Amino acid sequence: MRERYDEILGLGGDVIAIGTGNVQYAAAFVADERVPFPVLVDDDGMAARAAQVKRVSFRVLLFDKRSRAGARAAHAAGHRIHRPGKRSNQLGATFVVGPGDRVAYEHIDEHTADHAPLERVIAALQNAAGAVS
Amino acid sequence: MRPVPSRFPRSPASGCVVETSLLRTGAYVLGWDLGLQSSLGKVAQGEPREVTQTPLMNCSHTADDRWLFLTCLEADRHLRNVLVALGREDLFDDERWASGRTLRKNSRDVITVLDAEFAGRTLAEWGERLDAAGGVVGGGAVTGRRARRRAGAGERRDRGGAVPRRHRLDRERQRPDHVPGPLPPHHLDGDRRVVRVEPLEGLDDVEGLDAGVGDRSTSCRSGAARPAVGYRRGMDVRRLADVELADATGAMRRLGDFWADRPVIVVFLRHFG
Repeated sequence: MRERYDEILGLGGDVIAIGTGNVQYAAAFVADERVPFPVLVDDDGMAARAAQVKRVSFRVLLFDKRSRAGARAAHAAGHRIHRPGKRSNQLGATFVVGPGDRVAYEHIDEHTADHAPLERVIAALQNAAGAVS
Repeated sequence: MRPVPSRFPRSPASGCVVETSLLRTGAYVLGWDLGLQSSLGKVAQGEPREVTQTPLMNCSHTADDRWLFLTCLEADRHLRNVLVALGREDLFDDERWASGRTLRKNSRDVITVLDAEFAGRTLAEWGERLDAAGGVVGGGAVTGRRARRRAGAGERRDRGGAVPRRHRLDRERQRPDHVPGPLPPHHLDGDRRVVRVEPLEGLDDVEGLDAGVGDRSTSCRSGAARPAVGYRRGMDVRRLADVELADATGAMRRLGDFWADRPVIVVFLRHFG
């Protein structure tokens, strides 16, 4: 997402990231990863609940077979979990929202290695932006 | 049980009769408890409907002396639609009605409100209102007496005589006050190996029923486009838009402002870094 942020802006869209933790976590994340888009803190889970983002048991979080390959690949690539926040058993999700109340795309992660395909996200954004213009 | 609605004609008033295995039916009914016991090692206790921990998976009496059975399995997803159907948007800001978890904590209060509201209209009226509110899943539950009456004398003749009394499903006799209790929409009718299928009103309008309504793992898979109207799946965008969060500098930002006039990719991260 970060590498294609300019392309997303060029399409007339934008990106926001919402995570759990606190402002210090978010600030460190923005600085360490050089994140160019807004990063917001949702430690109470208000946004996550409204978006119906899943929370799973720690047993599923740690031992879900579907996530093993992805976890190994992420670990091999050098990624580590630094600051999970207090909702550490919350999974991720990706949406394309707007303009207005329109939801053009939604992907609610089923396990820790389940992520929305970026191409499809950008295609949905392109369609939504095209509908505006 | 899932394929039944798609294979048989549905009419809220008539229902239909299908043959099925008692063993399969029993396994279906017991599946939830057996799953809990095998995975968590505990057995769920039965609860009276007045105090059940799942107020949106519960039955209430309507003004025409019928039972309405809400089957909103994922309370968080259905909660706002239920309140809209009830005409109780004033409860949006009530902490007791904020989420499935708060509903569970305040189930007595919630059920009291639901009972009072549902008692004010007929079952048919509620069917229309629930549909109009976005396809909240609910249906008219059938009493044991009515279920047996619907099975009908003609059916018994076709099948060779009356059903032996000792095998009948007779909930009235099991209840101390002899008041017929509600049965869920799928229920068993004695030793006839017949399952009465009571169609849930409003389900005809639910997109994706046969693919597994209420199963978000199906409905929200990658790239799933939201239905234009009707059944509300996944996120509640209006509720999300009103949420204010701090950004990395500590400034509060209202989410809806981000996508007021342009599309935005919203990514929920599992963790920062």
